[in-house]
Amino acid sequence: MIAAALVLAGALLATLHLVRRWGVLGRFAALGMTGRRAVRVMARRGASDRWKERAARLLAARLLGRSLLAGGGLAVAAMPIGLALGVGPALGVPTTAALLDPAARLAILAMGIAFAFARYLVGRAAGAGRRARLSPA
Amino acid sequence: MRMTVFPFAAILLLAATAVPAQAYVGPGLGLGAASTALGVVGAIVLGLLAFVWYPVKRLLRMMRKAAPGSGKRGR
Repeated sequence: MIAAALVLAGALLATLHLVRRWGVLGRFAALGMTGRRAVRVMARRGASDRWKERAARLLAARLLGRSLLAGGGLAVAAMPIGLALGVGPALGVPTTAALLDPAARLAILAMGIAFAFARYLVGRAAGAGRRARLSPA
Repeated sequence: MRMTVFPFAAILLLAATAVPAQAYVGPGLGLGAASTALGVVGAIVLGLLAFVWYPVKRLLRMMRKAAPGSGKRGR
């Protein structure tokens, strides 16, 4: 069970890393912005139908592209967890059982907190080093 | 009587034989999937507006404009 918990924790961290690295949240923000813009354009008064038709055509293409990009990014970023859950049991690592096991979940939580703390310490040390380099002697 | 008992029996049977689906989706993935679906639906609605509604509206307006003129020409 420990091996499965380790594999799951690794998959979770890999997913978090991919989400940060690929800017998946930024893609969703861009999608929301495009949606709000589409609503604003369609609700605009005084604009000609020709203008609205052209704007709707452009915004439809943009909205479709951005939503596919955001959804695809999320699906690809969640791939490590999906792989761990799908392939784990076939390779003899009971990842699906570990996902439902309270002790394994607690271990994953502890590993996640430890990783976040380590990242915080490393980031702080790097920041202190940068500040020391930049400050006048 | 038989028609009313059958659905309840079927529901009970299904509930008794259900196994865990293991299909839990967390809030992050769930919200992401929902907003992606909303984006696709919005794009389809906008596409319908752009490719169907506005051309049809233009056509109707042209027909309405042409109608009085054609009446005069007919005289």
